[in-house]
Amino acid sequence: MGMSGSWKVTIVGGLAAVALLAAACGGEKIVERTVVVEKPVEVVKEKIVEKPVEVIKEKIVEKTVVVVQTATAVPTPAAAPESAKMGGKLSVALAAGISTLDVGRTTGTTASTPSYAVQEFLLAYDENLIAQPLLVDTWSLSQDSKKWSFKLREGIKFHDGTPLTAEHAVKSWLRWADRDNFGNTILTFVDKVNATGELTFDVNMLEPSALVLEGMARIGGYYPVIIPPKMYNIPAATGADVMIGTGPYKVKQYLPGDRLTVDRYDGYKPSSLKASFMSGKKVAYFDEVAYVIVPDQNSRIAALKTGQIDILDTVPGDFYKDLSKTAGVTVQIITNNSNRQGAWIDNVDGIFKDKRVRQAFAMAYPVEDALRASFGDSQFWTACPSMMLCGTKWGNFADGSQGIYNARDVAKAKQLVKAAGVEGATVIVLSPEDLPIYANPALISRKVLESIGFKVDFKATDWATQTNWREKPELWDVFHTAGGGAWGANPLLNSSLAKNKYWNKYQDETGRMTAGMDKLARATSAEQQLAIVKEMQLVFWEDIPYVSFGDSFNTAALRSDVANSRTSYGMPFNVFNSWREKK
Amino acid sequence: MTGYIIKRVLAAIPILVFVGLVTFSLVHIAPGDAANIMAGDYAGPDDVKKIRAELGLDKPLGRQFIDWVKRTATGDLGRSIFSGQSVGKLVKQRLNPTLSLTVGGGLLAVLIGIPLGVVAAWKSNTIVDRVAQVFAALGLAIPGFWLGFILLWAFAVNWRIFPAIGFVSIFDDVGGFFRSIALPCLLLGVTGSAVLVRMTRASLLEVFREDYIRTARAKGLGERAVLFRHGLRAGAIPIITVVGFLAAGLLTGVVVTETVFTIPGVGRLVAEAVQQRDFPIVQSLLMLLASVYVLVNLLVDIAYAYVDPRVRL
Amino acid sequence: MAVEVAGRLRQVAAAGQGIGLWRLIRTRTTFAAGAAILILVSLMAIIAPVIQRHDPQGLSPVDRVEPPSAQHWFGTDHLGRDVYARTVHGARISLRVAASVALIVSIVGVTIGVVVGYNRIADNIAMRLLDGMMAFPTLILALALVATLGSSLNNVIMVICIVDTPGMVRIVRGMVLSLRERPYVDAARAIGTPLPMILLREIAPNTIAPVLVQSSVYFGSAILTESALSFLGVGTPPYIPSWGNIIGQGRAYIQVGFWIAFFPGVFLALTVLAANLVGDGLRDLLDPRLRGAR
Repeated sequence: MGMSGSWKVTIVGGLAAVALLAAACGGEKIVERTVVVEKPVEVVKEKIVEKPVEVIKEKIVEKTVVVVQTATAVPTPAAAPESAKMGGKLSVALAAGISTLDVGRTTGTTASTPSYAVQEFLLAYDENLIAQPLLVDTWSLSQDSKKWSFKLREGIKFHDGTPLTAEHAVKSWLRWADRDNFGNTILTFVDKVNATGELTFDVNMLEPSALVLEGMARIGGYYPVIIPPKMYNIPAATGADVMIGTGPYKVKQYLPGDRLTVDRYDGYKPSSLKASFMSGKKVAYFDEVAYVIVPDQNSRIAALKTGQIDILDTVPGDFYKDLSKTAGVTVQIITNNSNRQGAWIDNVDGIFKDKRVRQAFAMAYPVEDALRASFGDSQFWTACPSMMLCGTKWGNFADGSQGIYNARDVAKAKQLVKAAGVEGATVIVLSPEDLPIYANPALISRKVLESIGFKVDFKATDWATQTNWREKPELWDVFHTAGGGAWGANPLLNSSLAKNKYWNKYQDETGRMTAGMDKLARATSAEQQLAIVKEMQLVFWEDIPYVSFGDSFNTAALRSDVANSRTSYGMPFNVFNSWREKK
Repeated sequence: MTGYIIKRVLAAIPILVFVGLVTFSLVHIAPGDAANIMAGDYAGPDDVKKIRAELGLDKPLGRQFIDWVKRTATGDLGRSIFSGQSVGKLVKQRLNPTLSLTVGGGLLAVLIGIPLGVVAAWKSNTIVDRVAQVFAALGLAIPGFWLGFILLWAFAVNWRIFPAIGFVSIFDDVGGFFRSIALPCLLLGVTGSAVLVRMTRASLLEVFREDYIRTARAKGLGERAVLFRHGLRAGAIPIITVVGFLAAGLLTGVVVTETVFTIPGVGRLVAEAVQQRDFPIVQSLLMLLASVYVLVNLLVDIAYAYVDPRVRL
Repeated sequence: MAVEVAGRLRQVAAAGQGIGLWRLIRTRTTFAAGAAILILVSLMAIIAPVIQRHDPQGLSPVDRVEPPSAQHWFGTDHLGRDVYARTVHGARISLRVAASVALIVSIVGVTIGVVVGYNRIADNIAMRLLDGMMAFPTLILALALVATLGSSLNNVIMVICIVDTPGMVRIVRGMVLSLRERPYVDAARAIGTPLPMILLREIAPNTIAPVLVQSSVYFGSAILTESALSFLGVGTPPYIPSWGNIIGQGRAYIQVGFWIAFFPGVFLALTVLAANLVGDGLRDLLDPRLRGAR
């Protein structure tokens, strides 16, 4: 593919940060969502952590951390004649109502799951996380590396009949860049984006950067979908009340709180490239795909067993055995895309203002207990001592974690608490009772805090209330949540590490974390980046912006006759290029 | 009679005004708002602030109340914060399942409850009576959702007779419709009929002791004739009352039933709106359901007055 | 206009009754059975710490979702907590909810009912308010109220009281309206007994029978309402093991661990059943008038 840009990514980039950004999976924590499919082909296994003090006996003795370095090729399924794959209906379960049809308005997965079938990006990642053209046909970079020129494919129409033009592409992309934190970063490099013709547009740079390409293919966070004027004319904060795109499926019917149904878009113009992850040729084999909202976990699993649901992207580990035995159902533990679990603490108000107290909490914490309480057997999680997600590029080292991460050193923690003079103080722990995966570790946190000399004011609420309370520092000291994808893979995109950006209100008193971020954004080689992140990790384990437990894997379950549907890098299961095997 | 009806209708108005006041204040002193949920968990303080302003949730409470009264007065029930759809439209989409369930469940309750109650009273102190009473006692004591799980597990997961989730409209597929409402209706019917059995039995037992029944029996009228000609007619008055209660019970029952069986009806809409803090929906639905309840009570009172003229006085 | 509603409620309360010697005996046996169950369950609640065998809150993630065994009689839940210990302990919470609701509703109901039944103006105002309160379907009102107040044990009790009180007020008021026309009340008035004395001595005691009957109904229904709220995710907080929230939390695991929701469910149903039996029995024993011969 003769794009002059493609090789330059590696050079200009130095910003290989970029490929990482892609190791992305966004996930609104409200919906306990699954991340990526079990690796079909090759998994690189390495033992990175020797288990520290094993207090709780483990049923599963062998514990390895599965690290997946790169995406692997999607195996070509046994060739069936195209016509035989056509037809039928597919049902995908959504665990919560679709909060909005506009993925520019939310990072929530309930909206982005159907969007994956309906809307498309300018560029799209292939299975190696290289941005490939999708709506764009070709691009080039000027001699001085300060102007990117793009040309769109011809003859593409939105589902509402509007032809795709450069103007639509530019406005959609800018709407995204304005909304997304990564987009904001990119815009600091960008001078001007303007349409130069019916199908051509330029991105003029202030400084050379390859981030532009990654921004067009961005996954995790907000999605840079290309949408018609009807949608982009409505501010992202308001959110359009339709979902229109250029994808292989179009929205047929939306019944809020019940289901969203999409059917084949006959005017779809597929890319001529080979299908690979999000890029290349897409075929809508199913006549219709229904995204069915089933909030009750018990019902979701029942419906999967009865065949009313075909794809269930999250199943608690406790059901692994049961579902493995169920005829017609395939279960997968998805190890190559995980979520970082932890206890988020209030850095600005109350006892955790004192770094020593944060350290004490972390040092006393038996992280396996928390992970096991939420996720069950250890095949469903890994205790990970690195600041970034284990298995991602910058998540393979334990520097700085010794003696603090999972140290279970209650005695020393008590001393620190005493030294800080806050012994016997009351700590408020929030527990969202509607979300066991965050309510369960709250019980552990309570025990830990009590063991190191605090009184605990345990506030059982629901997630909705908790989200409001955490706005007021005086109303809480500890809550539990998780982050995955780009958030967990790249410090630049991790709001909890940035000063005052997230609810933990990390203060970075020494300024070393902020300095690290700065250096990282401007680093030009992989070695440099690695060294910078290692330094930042030392700060992380000293400052304890939040108490990091480790990474959870997700379990997903599908009807066995659904072919070629998988999830990678935090994207939902693909419904295009997938079909139902006929018996 | 007309005077009585007018009186009853007028009396309902202050009730509805009160209901409106309670509804608004309830929803607005609730902790947690939709902006936070809307934003998603990766959103930080600034994002939430933006959305809150967008939704008008940062305005003072009094201002929001005035806005709400103005809108409601003009028949605008507001829009869902999440889907952006008008409450009217949402309710309309969900009316079909809820009506199907309440009608089906109510019918089943009446079909099980009243005959069982009649037989129990007529054959009192027999094994039939005992069975009916045990059935009623259990029906009143077992939590509906717990029974629902058992039904779901047995009939849907284990035996695969009925679907585990969802609703099929009767206009799309008649067979599918009946399969989809079978379990929910069974649940509503069983729990609803428990009350009916008790009430029917009790009121008929009273009737059977009345002098005219004894007279009828004494003059040698057949048992069947006594039952149908005299007993049931007199027993009908309290039974109307009970059916009124049943209707109210069904309104509450659908919340649980629709949640257990994942039926996209009005009941689930309420429960989920409360969980999501979707104010406009919670407000309008509380109003709406209370109005339905008031209406049902009104009809029951009128029916009651019609059958028993003493009430009109 | 409210009289017929009170009348209807009374009929509800009178359900399942008749007369005759055998019936009285039957009533007494069911009453005895109900009372026996309630006493046993209460006893269990009182000595829960002695018989619980495990810490009801003791987490043991390793032993999660294990079936009933000699070690864990009722199995373990999704956090490895002992379901037997939680069920036994849950009796404390559920009975506390039930007893508090029955007691508070009775006291508040009688107080308001007596005053309202005797004072025209108060009656007019209160009846409008109560009509309004009663217009809400109970569970839905409770749902919205708990969501508003936040879920805690006391809030759950308070909300169920709010939802139940109007019914009690109605019954008491209905009683008072008829009582105050009785000859002995007239007589008391004639000899110049002050009003508070009349209310306290002549009226209130005579409302006790229906109030007792109704409060036993509320005792049972409070347990059910609490469990329904827990099921809908707004009940008693999860770290307080009430039967309702043990079932509520266990429901997600029914297909792999039915025991989590099953055992507390059995106890719950049994207790509500017992409360209803006691209510039936009380009605027959205490209030012959309600027994039916109207």
